[in-house]
Amino acid sequence: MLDIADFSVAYPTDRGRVTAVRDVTLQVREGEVLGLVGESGSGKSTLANAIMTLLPDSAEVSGRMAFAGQDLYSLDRAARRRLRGNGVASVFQDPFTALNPVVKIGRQLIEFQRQKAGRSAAEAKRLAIDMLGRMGISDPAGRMKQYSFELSGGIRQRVMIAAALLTEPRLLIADEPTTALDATTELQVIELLRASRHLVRGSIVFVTHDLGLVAELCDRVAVMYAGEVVEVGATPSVIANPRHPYTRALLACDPRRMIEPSRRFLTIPGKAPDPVSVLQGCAFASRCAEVLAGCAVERPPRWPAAGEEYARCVRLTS
Amino acid sequence: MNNPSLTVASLVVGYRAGGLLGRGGRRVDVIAGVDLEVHSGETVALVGESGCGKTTLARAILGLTPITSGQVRVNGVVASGPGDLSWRPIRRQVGLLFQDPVASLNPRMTVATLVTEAFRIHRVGGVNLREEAQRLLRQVGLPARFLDRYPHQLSGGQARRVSMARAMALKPKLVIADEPTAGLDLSVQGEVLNLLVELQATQAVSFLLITHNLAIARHVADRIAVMYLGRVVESGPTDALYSQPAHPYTRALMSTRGGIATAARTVLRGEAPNPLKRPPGCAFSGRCDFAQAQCTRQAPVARTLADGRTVSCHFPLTGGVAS
Repeated sequence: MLDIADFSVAYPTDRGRVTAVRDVTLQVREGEVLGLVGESGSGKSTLANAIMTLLPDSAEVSGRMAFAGQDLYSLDRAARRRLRGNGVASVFQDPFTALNPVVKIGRQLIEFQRQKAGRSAAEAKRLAIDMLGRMGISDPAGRMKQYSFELSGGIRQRVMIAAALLTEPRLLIADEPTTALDATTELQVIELLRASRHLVRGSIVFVTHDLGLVAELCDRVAVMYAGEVVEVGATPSVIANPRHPYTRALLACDPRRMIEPSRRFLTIPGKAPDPVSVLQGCAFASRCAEVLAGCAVERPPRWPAAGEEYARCVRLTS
Repeated sequence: MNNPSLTVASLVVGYRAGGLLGRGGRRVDVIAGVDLEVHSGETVALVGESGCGKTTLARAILGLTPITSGQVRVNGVVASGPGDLSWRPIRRQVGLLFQDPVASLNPRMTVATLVTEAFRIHRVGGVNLREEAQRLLRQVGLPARFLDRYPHQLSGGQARRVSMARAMALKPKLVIADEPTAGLDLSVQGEVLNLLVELQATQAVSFLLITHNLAIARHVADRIAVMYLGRVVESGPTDALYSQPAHPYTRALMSTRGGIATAARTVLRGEAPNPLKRPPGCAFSGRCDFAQAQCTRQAPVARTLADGRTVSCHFPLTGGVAS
């Protein structure tokens, strides 16, 4: 479905060239839910934007990003846009900014479907009302006549998910869709996403900072650090048996995963490397509790070298 | 340990809604009768979802939002009305950590000026401000070279440390921390929490921790108070609330991702009611799986159960009384 190989994104800035995504190799399989996890500055949003071809003009892109067999960044702009409009949908963290505040919800939900050939306005309306109902929204026909500011955060996010699903995307990018929600509302949306998975025939890329959420919703997970994918694998095995020290550290920091009550919290000392610096060696070396002499000099290879699932840590190869 | 550093009694904060130019209209109670105690040296977590009144309550405790009725007592100082001058000594004794540390720091002041601002506001003389600033930074684990930096030169974690130094300036007995780790990466969040715990141990300060993060509340708080639509619906020892919630809303909250990992999930129907349309009876009754006829007619009164917790529910799920 999506084949990313040796893909990098860099920006020229006043301070120098910033590499936001470095040499990423990652596949999204047909029909799977892939979690893209990382802390702020890890490059997960840049990578997600690159998949949606929403990078700013100043971005310098290299490597391969193929969607349904076509390399997105070798196409001209118009062709890229067509591909995006016909196959990729997105749900963002803040649904308020994604909806037009002066157009009624219903009209927007009908507009979103216009790309779908052969759907009449009446049919689009019927499908929209039906989809709002499936999203657990009460009085869907009435909601169609409301404006986005009249809705609560939870309902707005359901409307956005409905909008994305109505376009029947082959690839759905969900960027922190529950981060802005309250705990009980988040739970409602998580259960909704889980229940509506069969409505998406394509694949889902779930971007989040929260490994716990990945454990709930994703088949596989890619962990990002300082612009790199440091580990990819099936979610249960990454959570139970993390192979990269960063994944291990991140899991250890999560108060939700601390079984016994404790007032001592684990942290990851130090900070991520300056994105302007030219990295040699492993990006995590300066903060790694398991660092070896060679880590700062030599970039760890993917291990195992073949296959879609790997971690980048020299300890695995020795 | 048992003399309270904060007592909130029957507190109501209401606004006028509707009407013209703030006149007429109906009173909407955002805080609808809250009782709360924080004992000295203790951490109490105030949990609940957006709009339940957590932040309004914090502001009311400091007199930053005029209260409609009820009273606030901090270390023996009582304040009750809008014109009451007692809010000033209360503010002097309470440190406040705001939600967004960068926005709460004046971008044109240096760290040294920021952390000693309270001395100037409360006209505390006879101190060398530079030395005080240095002492406060040391307390929060920042080296003296930060004294002359400006807020934009700080990382998220450092800005939080500066905010904490500011809150600790006048050696308060109580610190109100409003979502102190919101928006922080996990690897930094632990640092901030460790610092809070350490300050509590070394400075003998009590904390009112306002958070929606149940996992943090579980680890840090001695007691928890759960708010729903402007009222505390359940409060008691952290262990008790986590292991056996008595209020159905607490139970639903504890089944979310920060709560009890093993709990069966309670996915609530719909959303919290609008305070403008507060339902008769129990405010939670419309979403409650256990509601009975009485719940929609009569508002439950807070009562103390056998195990010491307080719950406002006609049919509590546990706690030593038959329901």
